Amino acid sequence: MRSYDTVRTRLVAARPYREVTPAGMTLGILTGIVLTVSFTYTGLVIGFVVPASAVAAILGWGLLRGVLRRGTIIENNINQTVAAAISCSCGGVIFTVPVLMLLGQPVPYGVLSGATIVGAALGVLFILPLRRQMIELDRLRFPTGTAVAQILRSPGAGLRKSALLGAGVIASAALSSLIGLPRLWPALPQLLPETVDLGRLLGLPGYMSHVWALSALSLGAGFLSGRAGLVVLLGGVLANWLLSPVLVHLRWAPPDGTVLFREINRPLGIGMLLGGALVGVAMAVPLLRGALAGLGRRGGGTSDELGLRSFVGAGLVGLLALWGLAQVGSAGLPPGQAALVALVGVVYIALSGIIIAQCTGLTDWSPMSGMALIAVSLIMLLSGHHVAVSVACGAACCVAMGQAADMMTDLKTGHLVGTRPRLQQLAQLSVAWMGPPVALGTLHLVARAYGLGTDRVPAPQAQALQAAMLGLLGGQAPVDRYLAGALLGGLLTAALGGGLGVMVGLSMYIPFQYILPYGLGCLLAMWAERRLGGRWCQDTGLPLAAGLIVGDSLAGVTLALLQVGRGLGAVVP
Amino acid sequence: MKGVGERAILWRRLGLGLLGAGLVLGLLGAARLEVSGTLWRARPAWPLFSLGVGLLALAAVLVRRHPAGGGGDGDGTDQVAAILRELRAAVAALRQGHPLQLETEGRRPAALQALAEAEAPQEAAYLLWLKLQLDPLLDDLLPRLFDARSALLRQHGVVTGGVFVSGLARVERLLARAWSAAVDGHAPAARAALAEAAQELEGLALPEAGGRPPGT
Repeated sequence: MRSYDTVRTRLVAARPYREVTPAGMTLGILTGIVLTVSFTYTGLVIGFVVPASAVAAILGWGLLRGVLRRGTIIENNINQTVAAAISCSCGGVIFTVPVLMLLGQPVPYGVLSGATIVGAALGVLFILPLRRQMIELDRLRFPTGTAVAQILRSPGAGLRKSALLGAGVIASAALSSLIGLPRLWPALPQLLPETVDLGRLLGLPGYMSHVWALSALSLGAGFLSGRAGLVVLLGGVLANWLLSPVLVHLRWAPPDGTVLFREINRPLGIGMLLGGALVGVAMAVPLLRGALAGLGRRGGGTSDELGLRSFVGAGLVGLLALWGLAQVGSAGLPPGQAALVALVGVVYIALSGIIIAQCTGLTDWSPMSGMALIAVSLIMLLSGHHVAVSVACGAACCVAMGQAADMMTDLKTGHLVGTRPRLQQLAQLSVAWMGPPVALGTLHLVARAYGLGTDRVPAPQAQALQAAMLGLLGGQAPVDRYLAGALLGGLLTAALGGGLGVMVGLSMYIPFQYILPYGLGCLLAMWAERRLGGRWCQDTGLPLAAGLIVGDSLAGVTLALLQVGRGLGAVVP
Repeated sequence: MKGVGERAILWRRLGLGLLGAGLVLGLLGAARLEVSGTLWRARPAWPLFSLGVGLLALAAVLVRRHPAGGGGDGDGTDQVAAILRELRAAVAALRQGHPLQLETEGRRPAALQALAEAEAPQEAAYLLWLKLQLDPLLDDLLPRLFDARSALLRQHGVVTGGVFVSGLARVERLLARAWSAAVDGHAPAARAALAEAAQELEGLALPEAGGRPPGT
């Protein structure tokens, strides 16, 4: 067998491997802006947003490889990273900023733009030292990141795997469309319900939630999480099928599922998330110290990652920027108080980014609205109930959380296809600032055209936050629940590590109807591993599950675009 | 020694039982609502909550003092060392253009076998060959290595073991890069990534038990 050095010398002069290119960046930016506008509008209507990575990756294949005939896997990964970096900010904007409009307060767009852009940059930079922990050591699955990697790798994955991926996409997109299209056009028949209430069929009491969402995404994410995700199912079972009946039986709570979720499970879950994450960070301090030292040593520009200076510099610049913005926004807030608000904001951004990225890595869900509520509550307390400053800081935190989760998800995809993390980090940083102004501009237009809190644009997440803020102003914040949950979550993580407190907290925070199909996916993966073997899971289960996640995203984006089209049609004669 | 190991397992099981009981009691204590007028208000049952927290704290001590597989022998390290040798040989063979001799050889398509034996692969053929050779490395060998990482981290500590696992993860990413470049038809990038992976593997040594990371 001869060496291939002769072939290599012939190829040295070949064109460079395409990674960060003008074509890839431009496509990513355009896709990101279009998706940000769509997601901002639909998020205000239906209350949630879908991840953009899968759509951007498919578009990338079509345009970079299909039309331009020169796209590479890494180039498409950068394109998808850029598109997602822009569009992931809209969730943070629509969960928080509309509260000011709903409360009839003036909306300081300049301050909000500044705060959310600072939040976007901090969200990316603060999560960087955790890449090693979450992706290399814990090897979190990041179901969407894994699914997108399947798309990117599809040209070399072989016909069978691609067919399975396609089958999953078609099945999931068909399911989501059958459920979603009648909401858009009520004249269409509702062939499939959004949820199936097995509890009612089995004669269970209403507070023992046994409702299953028909969510292919949850099933696929559960399959990709496998055994590691089972804790979420167990936590959900504990909260809904053990805790709730006992509380009702003891007459310690009313037999009302909504009250049980809103007053008990959700605040306790948020507390457990916080406590679990805090103890997890404390336990990882030796490793974090090593990671930061590594960043410091490699900060010379040739390493795989951005250096320590970026991390420290981001913290200082972010602190100064938020300090300045807090003074402008509050119109006379003393500098000392503004400094405290900025310091707490920056620390909270770092902590919440870790929590959200960990939750996304473990399950694909992110408790963003709950974390936003804590942020707003904290800042309201520190700023003397100043609503505008609180909402601006809450928006900055929310955008930062979105960026942190998205950066880690994309880094996971990049790890699976072999992209250098440094390139992805720079690409994300260079465009992350674009999302907030686009989302704010869209929000402004929608609010002017239709008003917010109306039947047409209900802004459900912002209404929930508004209700919580009004409760806070009336002294009704469930602080004891947060603290009790934090203690329990912290002890769980201290005992077994591995983000156990965060997982159980998440299972109490997420509506049980989504946990059930997710848990079914986990159980299916464990059954398949045992009965059909790891090879089957890798070759058949993985592409199929990835297809389910991608199909749901595709259907979500299509429905969002259709909804935007309908909205424009109503405005333009 | 066996008796000590069995006692450790019993203590751990007791700790896990207390953990479950403490969690349930703690949640019940924290979750209590009471009727106040026409509304339900939060009135945590503090004694019950405190009992739950106490049990959880006790459980945390027991579980951490008796970790799963604690006090084990060097099986994890031996297993990792064997797979690491296999991986090094595989990557070196790939750089030289030899077909892999892995346990997964049976999966190699006949067409690839013919290609490897032809000894005259052109660029496209080389890249196809490389991609097919990397498949079992990425799908079988590396996952087996990472499956053993928990034992490794437990044995050598999160810092020392972490340095090793992190190096392995870098190798995985570089091999994935070689795979991507091969699929994209870019031989220089594939070779460069392979060379980097080989270099990283050369510098990767298993940590000594309870010792410092190699090279420090």
